[in-house]
Amino acid sequence: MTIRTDLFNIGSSGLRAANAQLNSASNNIANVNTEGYSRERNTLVSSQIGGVVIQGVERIVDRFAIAQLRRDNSAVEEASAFTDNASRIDDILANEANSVAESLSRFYGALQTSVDEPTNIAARDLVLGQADAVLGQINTLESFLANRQSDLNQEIDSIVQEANGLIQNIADLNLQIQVLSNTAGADSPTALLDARDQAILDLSGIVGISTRPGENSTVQVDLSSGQSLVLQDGTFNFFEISGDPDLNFTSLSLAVPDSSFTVPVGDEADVGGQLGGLFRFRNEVLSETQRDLGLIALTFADALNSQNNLGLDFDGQIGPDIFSIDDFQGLNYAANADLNSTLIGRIADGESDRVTSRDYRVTVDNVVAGGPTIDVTIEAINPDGSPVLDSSGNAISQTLTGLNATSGVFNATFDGIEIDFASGTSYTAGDQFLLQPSRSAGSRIDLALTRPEDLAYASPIRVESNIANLGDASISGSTVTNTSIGAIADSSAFTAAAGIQGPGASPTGGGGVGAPVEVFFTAADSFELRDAAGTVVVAVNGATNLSNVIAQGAATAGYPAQFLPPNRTDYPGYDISIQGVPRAGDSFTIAFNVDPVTGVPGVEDNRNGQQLAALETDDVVRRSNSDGFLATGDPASSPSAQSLVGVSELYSIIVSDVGQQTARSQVVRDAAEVLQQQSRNRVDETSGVNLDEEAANLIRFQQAYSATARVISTAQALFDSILNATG
Amino acid sequence: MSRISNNQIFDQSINSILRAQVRVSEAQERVNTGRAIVNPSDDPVGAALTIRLTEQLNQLNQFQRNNDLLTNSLEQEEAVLRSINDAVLRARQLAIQAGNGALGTQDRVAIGLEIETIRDQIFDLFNSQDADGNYIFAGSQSQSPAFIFDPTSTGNIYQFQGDETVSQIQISDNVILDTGDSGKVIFEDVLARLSSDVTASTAASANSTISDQGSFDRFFFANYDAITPANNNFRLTVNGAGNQIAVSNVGTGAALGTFNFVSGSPFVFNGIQFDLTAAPGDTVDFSLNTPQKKNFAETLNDFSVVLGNENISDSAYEQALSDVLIGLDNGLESLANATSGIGGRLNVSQSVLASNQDLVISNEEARRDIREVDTAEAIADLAQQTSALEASQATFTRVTQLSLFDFL
Repeated sequence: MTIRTDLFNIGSSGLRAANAQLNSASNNIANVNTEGYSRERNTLVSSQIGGVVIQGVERIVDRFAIAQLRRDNSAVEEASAFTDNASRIDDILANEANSVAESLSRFYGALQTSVDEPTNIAARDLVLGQADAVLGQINTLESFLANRQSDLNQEIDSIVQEANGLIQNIADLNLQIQVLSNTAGADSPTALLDARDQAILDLSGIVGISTRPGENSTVQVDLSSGQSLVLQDGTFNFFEISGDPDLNFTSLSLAVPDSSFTVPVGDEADVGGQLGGLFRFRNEVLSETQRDLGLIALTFADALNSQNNLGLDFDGQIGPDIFSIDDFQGLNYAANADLNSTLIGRIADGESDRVTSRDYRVTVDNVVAGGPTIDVTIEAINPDGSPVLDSSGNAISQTLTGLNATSGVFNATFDGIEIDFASGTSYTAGDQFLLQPSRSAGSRIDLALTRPEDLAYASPIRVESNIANLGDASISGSTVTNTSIGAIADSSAFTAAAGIQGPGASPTGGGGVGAPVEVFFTAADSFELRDAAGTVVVAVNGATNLSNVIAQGAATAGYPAQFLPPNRTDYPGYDISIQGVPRAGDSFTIAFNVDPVTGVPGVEDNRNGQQLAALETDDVVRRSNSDGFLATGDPASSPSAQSLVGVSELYSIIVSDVGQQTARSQVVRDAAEVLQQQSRNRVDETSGVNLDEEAANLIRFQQAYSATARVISTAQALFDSILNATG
Repeated sequence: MSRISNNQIFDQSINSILRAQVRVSEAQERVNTGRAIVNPSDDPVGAALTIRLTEQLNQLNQFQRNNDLLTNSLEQEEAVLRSINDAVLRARQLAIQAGNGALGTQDRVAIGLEIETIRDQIFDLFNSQDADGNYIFAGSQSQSPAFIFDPTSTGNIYQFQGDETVSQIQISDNVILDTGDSGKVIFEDVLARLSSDVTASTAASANSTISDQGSFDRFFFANYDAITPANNNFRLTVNGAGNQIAVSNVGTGAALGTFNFVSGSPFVFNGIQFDLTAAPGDTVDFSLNTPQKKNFAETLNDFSVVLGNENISDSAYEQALSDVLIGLDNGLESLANATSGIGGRLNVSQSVLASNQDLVISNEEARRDIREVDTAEAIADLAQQTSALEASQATFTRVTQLSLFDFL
């Protein structure tokens, strides 16, 4: 039989134990509202030699419940960050006062009214006012989005700092816990463990993490993608943010302290937690919306410009551009040899239906100083820099060789973009530039017209039947497709002096025929196209119909080659259709739409105005980003009809896209919150303080204390009785 | 045995109160705005549809305004054409009256004066203006009069000076109609009476008149060659027996037939009556005159000059009477075509107006269904959410008041 120690020792160990238990209960009560506090319990064992031994204070925790809580916390924070930001854009799009579709509707309403009465200058003025309002509306939204982006950058900045603080905190706590756990006889550092768990939980809200227990109660923290944040040996890595090439489009990397070594995190949108949510919002909602909105502005402005160019204004001149669209600068990548190199891009006139919301990376492959020419590779990329994939999953990229490297010369590339090597040949092979043609394009567009008279509602051609005609044919329609003036291949038959090129002035040169301006019938189904001097340009015999008679002439042998591609891509730039049966000797003439005697333009004419108004519903925006490149300026490669949508339609697509993403993320967030609540309950069930339980414990430990006190008083009484018996 | 911590008791109560508050505020917003879709995320597809429906409604309303404008302008044109028609009918009546052989010179002058008045009235109507001062028949040259009076002209002195371009108005997605007509098409492009003249003759006497305008017109249109003028010359050749005439085309040499003939009596060929005294082997050349186009004002002006001419021969007077009657009839036909064209466009605009109205109603209904909330349901929902909130608040005080410490 074991020799027991005496009553005094047993009693005093009991008192110590009861005291310790009372302390723990009190500590639990005191920390009832402390975040991250896990309730404590004393581990007691009965001693071999009698009495009770306090083994230590134990935190009551469920390690698996905590790990689950961290994961759910990451999910909730990620979904909340995404939802909070997306719903702010959702809110602003919901507001009818901000609706671009409404302002487009008002603009086209004003345009229709004005086109109905082309001579009403006040109505024309209103059109310009509404055009300005549309731009203002787009600019308001764009600057809202730009502000969101800079707010987002600040938010990311401060969150990264917070994360770095937590990482350092965890590393420090690891060290202290390691020291204390190695100290023999020391109590378990419950407060430090609680603090570390809380810091890890906080960190899990910022990024998705996983933990591994290490030696000596340390813990190793990794990103869920694998990179280490806090290592067992007490070292740690910091987050760093940088923007290359777009300073406003930041990316995340890990840096080792006191070294220049950094590792990119990879896909920022996948890091999870609040940071992941913010990056994902930026890549999936903000960037897309900025580009789509820019695309609306670009196509709205360019389509109206192009159509206005095809008309005749109130003053009898070919319509000028309604909007000015500024060039955009390519952004230098940080690795470029000379960061002062500039690459300038612009949208080719009238080709906005080829522009997409993609970004482009231009890589200089080779510079030939003697040319001077440059070879480049152009890749279509997403806002986050990843390649855009086509329908078969391949990256879309193409090489262009021998581009003119003279500053000020724009080279046709792809998707309606032209680039100017503004730095001449001072590029180095390997230099890269980022082109963002559609991002915030609205801010690059201004109303260029100040005079309402410059709106070109009339057609530049007047088509007249000869009054001596005896047949019953009449003009059924006229089209104008090109009015550009100059000597280049895409020029039309219109002259700078408000006329149509006659003999000598046309591409056939001196002694040649002029542009076809008369359709003279030699029989009901045969006609001659004649120039202004009456010289036959080409004779068409046996026509089956009389629509687009100039195109029929162009397809007939004998039509001057100088009028046809590749010499002229669209010459003369107009055509007419005739219906009914003409008689031999009937003729129809085409002239510049200005009265030959008075010089007054056809001001009541609104044929081009109808075309302008029709742009409201015309499909002019290229919506498919997974299509291959379309060569700029090449009429043979035009966007397919099914890839185009209308301008207001694109706006409704934006609204519904943002709405869908917001709605989806709200569902995800709500689901994640339920899961988080459950795992928090699981943690709280184990580790949380219940005051009623502690109240009961207080009574229990108090009773134990009283009882052990009685043991001591009994021992005292026993001792006294022995003294008395011997005394 | 499961346990629950104090934090859980409080958190759960607070969370349920917060959730109930969010639902109350959402329900309240639906009642206040009357909108089922407050944010696009409430119904992304519905939100996009609402935008498109709103755009379509705006466009339809614009089409309805355009339609009103079109109707006004067509009705004005119709009224002007009716006035012209009335004036021309009066002039035609006077022309028939002027054909009465019993009339003296003074009577003709009196009729001539009235014809001049009608001419001026029609000329004035040609230059009708709309409310904005635009000349409605001038085509796109609407700032200047459609017709001018140019007494120095060698051709017609009442001339059209606008163009053929007519402004258009869109009244539905696919229907674009002309708002009017060019005076060139309605008034100017009207044939004057077609005629022919004897150009050379070896016969003792040869005169020609149009005795049957209808058959002459048919012959004219079948044979007139606008490209080669020589092909408009024809020759009558009397045969050796002097009892037949062969008709041939001088330009092409084509034979048009051989017809019986008695010298001294009228020889009629396709509505042309030749008063011919001819011997065997004689030839008579006649040609088809280049067709003229004359508007009402020009035709009436020509006629008024004839009426004022006291020394005119009977045959010339007859010719002038035919000229005016046929010229006016051709013009009236063109006028009738224009009027029926206007009627057709008015019919189209009426039916488009009706179908647009139907579309407006159905689009508005569709938008209401998507966007607007059922008020009764929304109010009931608000009441339900409010009572849920009250219940949560009530349980909070109950549950959190329980504490063992109160009994120690």
